[in-house]
Amino acid sequence: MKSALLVALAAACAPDLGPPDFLVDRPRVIAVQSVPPEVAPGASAAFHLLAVGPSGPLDVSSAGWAFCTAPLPLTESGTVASACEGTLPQIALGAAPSIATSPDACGLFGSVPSSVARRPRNPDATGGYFQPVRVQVSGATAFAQERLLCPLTQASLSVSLDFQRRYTPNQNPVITAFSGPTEVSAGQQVLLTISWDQGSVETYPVFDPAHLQIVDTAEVMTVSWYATAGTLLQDRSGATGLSATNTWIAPSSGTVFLWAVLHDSRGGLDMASLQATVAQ
Amino acid sequence: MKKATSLALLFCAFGALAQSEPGLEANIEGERKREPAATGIQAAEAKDLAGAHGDAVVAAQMLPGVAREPVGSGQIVVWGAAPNETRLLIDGIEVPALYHGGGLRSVVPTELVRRIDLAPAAFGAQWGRALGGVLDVEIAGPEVTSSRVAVDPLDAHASVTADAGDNQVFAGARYSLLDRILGPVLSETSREVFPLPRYWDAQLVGTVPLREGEKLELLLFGSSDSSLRDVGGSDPSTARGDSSQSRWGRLGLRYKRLLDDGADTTVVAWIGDDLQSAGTFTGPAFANQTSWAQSAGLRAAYRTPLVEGADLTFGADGLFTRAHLRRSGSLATPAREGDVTAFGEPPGVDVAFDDWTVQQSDFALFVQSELTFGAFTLTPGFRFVVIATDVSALFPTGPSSAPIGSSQLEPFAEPRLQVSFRPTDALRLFAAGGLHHQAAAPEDLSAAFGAPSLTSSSALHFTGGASYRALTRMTFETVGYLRLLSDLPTRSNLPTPVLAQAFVQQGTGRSYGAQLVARWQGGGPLSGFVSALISRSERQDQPASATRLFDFDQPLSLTAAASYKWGSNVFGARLRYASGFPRTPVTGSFFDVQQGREEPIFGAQNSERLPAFVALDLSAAHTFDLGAGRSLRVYLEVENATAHENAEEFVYSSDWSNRGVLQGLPPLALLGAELVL
Repeated sequence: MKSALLVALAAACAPDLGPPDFLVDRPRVIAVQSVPPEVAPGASAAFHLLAVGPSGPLDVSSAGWAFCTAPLPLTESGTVASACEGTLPQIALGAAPSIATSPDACGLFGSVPSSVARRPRNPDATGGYFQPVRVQVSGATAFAQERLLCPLTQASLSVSLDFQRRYTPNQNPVITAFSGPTEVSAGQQVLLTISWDQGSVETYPVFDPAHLQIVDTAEVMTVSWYATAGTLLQDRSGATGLSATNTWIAPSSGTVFLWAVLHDSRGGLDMASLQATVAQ
Repeated sequence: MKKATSLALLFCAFGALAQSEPGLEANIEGERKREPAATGIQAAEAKDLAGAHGDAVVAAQMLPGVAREPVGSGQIVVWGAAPNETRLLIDGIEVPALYHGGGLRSVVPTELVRRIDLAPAAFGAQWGRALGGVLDVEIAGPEVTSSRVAVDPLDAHASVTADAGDNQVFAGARYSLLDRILGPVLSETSREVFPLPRYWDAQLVGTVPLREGEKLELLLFGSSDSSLRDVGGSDPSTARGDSSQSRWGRLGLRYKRLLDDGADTTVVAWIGDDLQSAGTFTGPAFANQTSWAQSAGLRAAYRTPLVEGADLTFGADGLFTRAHLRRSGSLATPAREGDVTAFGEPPGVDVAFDDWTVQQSDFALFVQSELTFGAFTLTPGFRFVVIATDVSALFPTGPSSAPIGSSQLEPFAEPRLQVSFRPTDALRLFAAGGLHHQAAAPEDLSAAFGAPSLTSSSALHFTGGASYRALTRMTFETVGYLRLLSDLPTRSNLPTPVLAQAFVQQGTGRSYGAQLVARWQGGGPLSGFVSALISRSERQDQPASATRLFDFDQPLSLTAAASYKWGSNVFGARLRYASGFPRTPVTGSFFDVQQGREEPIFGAQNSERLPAFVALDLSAAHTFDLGAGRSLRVYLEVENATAHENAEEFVYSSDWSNRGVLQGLPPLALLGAELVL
């Protein structure tokens, strides 16, 4: 018994859908660092904005800030409620305003609903609850998420107390170096390296609802890479050590801005930039 | 050149059809043998249809009333009903799926199938548990001792029918080859988009003759499907992938006895075991669900003639299911019918967990009588249903609180009525209606992901139409239908939902439409049909929310299929046109700083459609007579012979600003062979 196969499959089914994620070809908000990155409801945090465009960093003095108080309904996917995409009262202006979270943020976005008959929000994989912060600048819109210190309510009292004792609010990671050549030739392949300090990779307890116990977990660091020209081999890269690398292929000419945004698992971040001149 | 030849044959076939040549045989049954609005197809005819890959049950996907399903889904959408609202049966035994690998192959070998019947709505009192339709694959008992081996690019299949004393036994098995053959050929991008399925199935059917007119059949079916897609696995922040696994088995006994007075009795008893699991992840976001279920069913019916022109059928129909489910990850994943989402959207970042058990018994007593008064036939029926549901936890349970279970008992009365009028031998008018219920799905009864308090959903079915036989060979049939749905589970839209009520039972819906079928009847070399379905299906998720299009709404579906037998050759052709399914447009995006990615902003729900689907499929088969009852059948099938670029899904750039389409099958030629010994 024999069979034969005549397959005339097209090479690929997915279409090419335009520029890659790393390319800064329009005004974009690529990072909002909150200091501190995790606060109790009602507490303030300072928000530092990094907005960029094809010509480099943007002037963010006119950035408008708003807190969204609408939780994500079960009828919507994504990370932010569609109600937050509409008109919101602007509460601050500028590059680094200090904004207080909602006093009832753990009720709206967290583990403590207004009534025991109501459903608490689900945490993310790190056990975190977040209040969205919207920023708009130069036509670009972005949402940052301020991590909230909300009590652990799914666990027994003893486990909750143990969790409270062991949990340390998140700190932003700290980039120690973002290195790469500043003068390159056209088409040159350049190795970019970003490093961070040892304290950036924190260990934190998270409640495992499947086994009803607390598990200590180390943060996983993620780097988002951006460039105004050329080609980056990776849009994002992850690392469990203290550094990450990426390869950038220089364009034919011009001055190119490169950025790296370092994220930790719990919503903390740091950012760094590099400027390279391409010789023809 | 080959394509040109096949096209010429297609035109020849339809030319012959138009000229009403004598000796043509029926393809799809013109008479509604079982239900007023039912259609059916004989396995012997179905396997020759282009697009069926020689698999009779696959041909059920092109029955009138069945929407053209998305490629790779294997779902049956009947007259605007969701796939899980239609019951799938093999000889009366409920099964979770009829198809492997997204619908390319069925779980029942063609040599074991006698016919396939689809009752899309308003079926009689002997059937229940379905808001949509009932699709039944009737098994043909093993009769002729033979062996069979078949291979094509999809899979390899072998079966044997043998005498065992006075009994006859059929044993068969199938194993997929698609992943091994296509895997190395496909580009990495294609493998990322379409994970190749891996499957197997096995069957054992034994027939035990008892007294005259009495038969006992043993049926054993098993099926397994799995697929795995893993992209960028070394980097935990960017890795994404998904996996699915489905394994199920059924062991059944079917007893049938025909009595001298014209009465008959049928008893089907079965047990089953199901395992379904699915998971997906993108970076740290994930969603996993596993379900283990044991089930048992019993159906007993007795039909007896009362007086001339009147008979009575009564019986019992029970299904008991015990399901243990475990789910973790985002509530929004997998998406349900009615969810606003876009292809490629990663799972939500929220994490919930639940481990729950559901015991459900659905027991019904039914009675139905067929009363004939001259040209009128009246078939009143009544089904009394009791659904008992036990859920292990009514509220999410913490470590310091004992679970509080929930029990519900729901009795329902389901009246059914069918009327037909035959003023002439050629013309038949009919109408039918009834009330139907379907129990809440165990996966919806989670305290964390659903609502343990959900009860059954209900539907009112109405259908009416006419069939007309012209020129003794041609049958025209038109059917209209209306299906009204209520108490559908939908996601709660409250800003802060009530505890353990992620779903609320406030959804309603309606589907209506008209279907026109022209069939070529007769016993000659040509058989074929043309069907058109015009339909609309809407849902309203909450009383105050706007009515939206059903996710599987397909306003227009046209199918023309024909096969022509010429000596030892059979040529087939199928032409399909189907409106695209509704989709929700992405109108903008914002950057989520924490996730480091753009998130979509959606427009009005289901306010646009995928482009329409058009495809011409061709097939040719030749059977070599090897003597002594042996034969070799070689077949070639070309799907999408005109290379029409069909859009199966909208896909977006990572910033959601550019949109393209994911194209379906390019021209695909399958060459296979079947040896019968």
